[in-house]
Amino acid sequence: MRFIKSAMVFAMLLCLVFSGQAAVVSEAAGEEAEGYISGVVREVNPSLGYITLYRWDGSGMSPEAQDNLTRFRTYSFAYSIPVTRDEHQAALEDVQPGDYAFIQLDEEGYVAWLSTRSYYKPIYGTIYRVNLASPVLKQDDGIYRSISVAVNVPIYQNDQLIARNQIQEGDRVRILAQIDGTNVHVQGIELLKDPKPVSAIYRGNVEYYDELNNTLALSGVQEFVNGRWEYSSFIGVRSFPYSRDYKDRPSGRISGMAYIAVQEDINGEDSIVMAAFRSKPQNEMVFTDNVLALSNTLNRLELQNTSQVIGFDAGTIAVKNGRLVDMGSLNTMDNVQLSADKPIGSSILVSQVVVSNTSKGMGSLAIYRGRIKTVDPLRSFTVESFAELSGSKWLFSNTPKTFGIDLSTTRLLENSGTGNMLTFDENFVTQSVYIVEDTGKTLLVSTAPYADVQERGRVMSLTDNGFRLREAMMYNSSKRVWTSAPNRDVNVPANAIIIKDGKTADLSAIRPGDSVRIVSNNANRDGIIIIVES
Amino acid sequence: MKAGLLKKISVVVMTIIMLMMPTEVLAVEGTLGYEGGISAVNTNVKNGYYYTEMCFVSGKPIYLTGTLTIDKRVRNNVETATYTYMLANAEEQATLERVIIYETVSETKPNGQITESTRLSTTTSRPFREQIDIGGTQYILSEYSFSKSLLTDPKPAINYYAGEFAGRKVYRINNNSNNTVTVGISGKLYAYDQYWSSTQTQKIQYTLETRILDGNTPYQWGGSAEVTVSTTRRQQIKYAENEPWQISFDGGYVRRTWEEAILDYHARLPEFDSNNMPTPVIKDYKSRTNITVPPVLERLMVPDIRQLDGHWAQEPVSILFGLGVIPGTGENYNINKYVTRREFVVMLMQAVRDIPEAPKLKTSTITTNRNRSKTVEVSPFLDVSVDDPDYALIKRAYEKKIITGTGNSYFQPDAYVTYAEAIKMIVNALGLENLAPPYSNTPYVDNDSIPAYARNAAAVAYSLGIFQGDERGYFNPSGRITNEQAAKLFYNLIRYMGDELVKDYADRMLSF
Repeated sequence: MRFIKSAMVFAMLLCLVFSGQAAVVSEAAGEEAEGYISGVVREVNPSLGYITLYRWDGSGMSPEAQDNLTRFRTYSFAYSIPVTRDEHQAALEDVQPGDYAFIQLDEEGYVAWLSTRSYYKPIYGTIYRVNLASPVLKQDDGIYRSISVAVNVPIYQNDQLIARNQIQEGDRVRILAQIDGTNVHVQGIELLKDPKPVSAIYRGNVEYYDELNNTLALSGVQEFVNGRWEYSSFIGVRSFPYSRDYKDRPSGRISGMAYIAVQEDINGEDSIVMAAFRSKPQNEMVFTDNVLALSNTLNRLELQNTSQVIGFDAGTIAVKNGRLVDMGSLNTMDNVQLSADKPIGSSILVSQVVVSNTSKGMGSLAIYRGRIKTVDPLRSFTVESFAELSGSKWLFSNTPKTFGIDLSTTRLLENSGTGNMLTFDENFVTQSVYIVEDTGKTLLVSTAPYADVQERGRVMSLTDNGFRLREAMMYNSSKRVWTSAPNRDVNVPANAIIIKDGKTADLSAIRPGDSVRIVSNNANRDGIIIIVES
Repeated sequence: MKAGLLKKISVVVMTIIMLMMPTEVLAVEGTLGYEGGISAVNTNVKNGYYYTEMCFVSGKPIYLTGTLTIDKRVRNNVETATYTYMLANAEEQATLERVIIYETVSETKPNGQITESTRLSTTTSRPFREQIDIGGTQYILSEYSFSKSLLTDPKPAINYYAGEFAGRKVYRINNNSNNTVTVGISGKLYAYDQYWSSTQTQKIQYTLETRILDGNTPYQWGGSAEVTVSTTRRQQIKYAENEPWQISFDGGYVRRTWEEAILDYHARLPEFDSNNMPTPVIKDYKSRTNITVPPVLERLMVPDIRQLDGHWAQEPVSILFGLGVIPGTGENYNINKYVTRREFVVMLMQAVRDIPEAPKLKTSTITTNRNRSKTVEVSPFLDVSVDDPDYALIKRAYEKKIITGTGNSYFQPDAYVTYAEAIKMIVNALGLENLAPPYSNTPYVDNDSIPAYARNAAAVAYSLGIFQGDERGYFNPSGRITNEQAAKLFYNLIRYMGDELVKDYADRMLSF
């Protein structure tokens, strides 16, 4: 058997010799007389059974040197051999160009043992374009690089494997790659363990840039919240530090208005991650619409509903799902909130800020209400019949429904606050509860009272036990119309259900400017279900 | 005879006194303690630091801030360090008092590396004392085990450190031995120390297990937390433009030096119900905080390099003159002049500088009467005299293994330095040869013409961004280096040592 294999290899080598690519297994250098060779791997081909090393001194990149490599630095495999890489047992396929290899030859000159060490280095950057096979990376040095990622390359976040489709544009990544000439072998991709979203977009009149302290001072600060510019609660001149990772700084004297995106920096403080300086707006407009088309060459996008054509430039702050992105990362039909102005001399509006958020409102969550019929402690419970919140209506189903209990994720909210699912037993039978479910997984059980008054509005400010609602609208279920209602303080009880960005949340997640939908109790008007819509 | 004995006794006594003097801690390693906290020097307190750490024993993360004092003494080659913490959080009605005494034994290995082993003091009857009060509940440390190992690899320009520590703490709740919190500690630490920046980063994994056996409802709960702490001393150079026109010098550069410490944690602890009983739901807590010490500003000398007005290398040249890397004041500086090996080594030694030592450690160097006999200075190179004005720097470069000479004990100081030689010296100084294979192939177009001795250094310098070839991607190994190209190299080297290393040791360890 071994003879046949050796014969095949010999025949293959003969073919190579006759085709001008001779593969002779020997080199006269003294260090290899004992059959031990070391060097950097240029190529390894498990199918044809050979490995090529650069010359002992690392040369062999020039064409004539490569010719020498195939004659003097190529070694053949004739049988199965032990292979180790980075001191672990490996397959030949695991050996990559750029590895440093040690080879032991047998008496016939075939490779008898192969052991290699890898030299991966980290490449840091931001995902510019998601492509499952070869994402485009914007490296920290500003170079765009399309990196080929094999299907089996693991992707980690928080030391946990994640699915490839969880990578999004704007994600900061560390790619471990071994680069040898044009060969790039990716060993793994790691996402930031705790990516911080852009925490706010502000604008304000430029007061000064403090070069020594690396801060930008603005007055009359407004925040772009939910598609509108809102005055900040901060009065007077406010100073913003620049992020150490954002290199652009104002040059010369600056004036007019600064548009800045801030994000929690490495030191835990909100810092400027992008800044643009513009003249004060002349003809400003804000839009909430969908992108119909976007051209990176013309630097324009067209909106679907308003048919507006809006330009963008290098100073346009684009944020998608909380991540600062290039405008090219926006896709057609992405819902966007944008602010644009027609500067003097321009024929079209130019956007200062574009925000797109694809995960908002309820997401995949469903809210049910029902009276508990039975409880199988720690496992499940069943309601006699149930109603599901659908838009501004409760849709009743006169059938029982069983909800599973997962002790690690199912939370209980009682009148006094956080409850304990360990105590959720027969005593809860006949009690009416709300259940929040995410694709079959019970997230929350709340004992909050019945609520059926539907309201909408914007959060004006936060109060001790809730928030103040303005621009309030109330749903008239008999006339099926929304009518305006006076501003009011909404009290939020301890067992209220709060949903933001498709996840259950608590009161601290609600921010001034949020657009909310409230289902409140008819008697005391407490906000029982609060859904942050955008 | 008597006089000799007296002399001997006095030397011994002086040695003991000097060794027993409290020594200031090194710039980096050890200043964070090993309790998952961050610190920054507090000049108002002797050996004192501003200090913040997270406390998880109650099941809810609580920031505790206050002061840490570190007192270190050396006796019989054993370093005894006493860490005293006085911390509080008024909002959470929490206080912490802790005293830990460690003993460290170190050993220098034949290759110059230093291994250290640290444990709780065995010579003190109470090597630890800790009491935490949170909202009226006391957590008293009753058992503590701790072990730390550290390897220091001193390279010419940088000391690299890596180590690990592990421990276990048992607290009695309200001094009741049936109600306990056990904290498992497992940490890794990485640090480096050099002139342009220094950083220490620790990643610590805590496991918590609380058992309440006395009470109406016995229960137990567990949780975990990962804490990453990092402290950094760094420098930045900013251009300061002159506003008046009638001034004798152009705008200059300001060096800004500051210290910053960052604490990042991610805890997974049970959610507690309204009766303060643990529920099975695991809650994620994540946050980050920092301590920043106000920066120290220092103006750099403004060289007279009017001949370079408008030149693309004006900025690096000006900064390097200001930092003293390029000797002189600039009048006769010729940017196109080729650099000799002597000039290059002198500039390199000024660029990498000596690794800063704590002032009081310097004083522990003792000159005894025994060493009074004069030894004759012998130059390591036949062509560099001991009277040569650059002898001291060239000798130091040789001793630190940055240079080895050109063979046969010659240095050829007045020969022009080539790229291959220059890059080799720079990478030798950093001690980072291991980042590429021994005889690496490199990304340069003229890879095959790079001599074997410089190949590894060429590949490393490329990876680190210190040198990536000329505009066409050529390494040009035997090409001579002009003052302009040397300035670019040293500017990149200083930027790397000041910025990139910090990113690798602190920013990226905190982020990924």
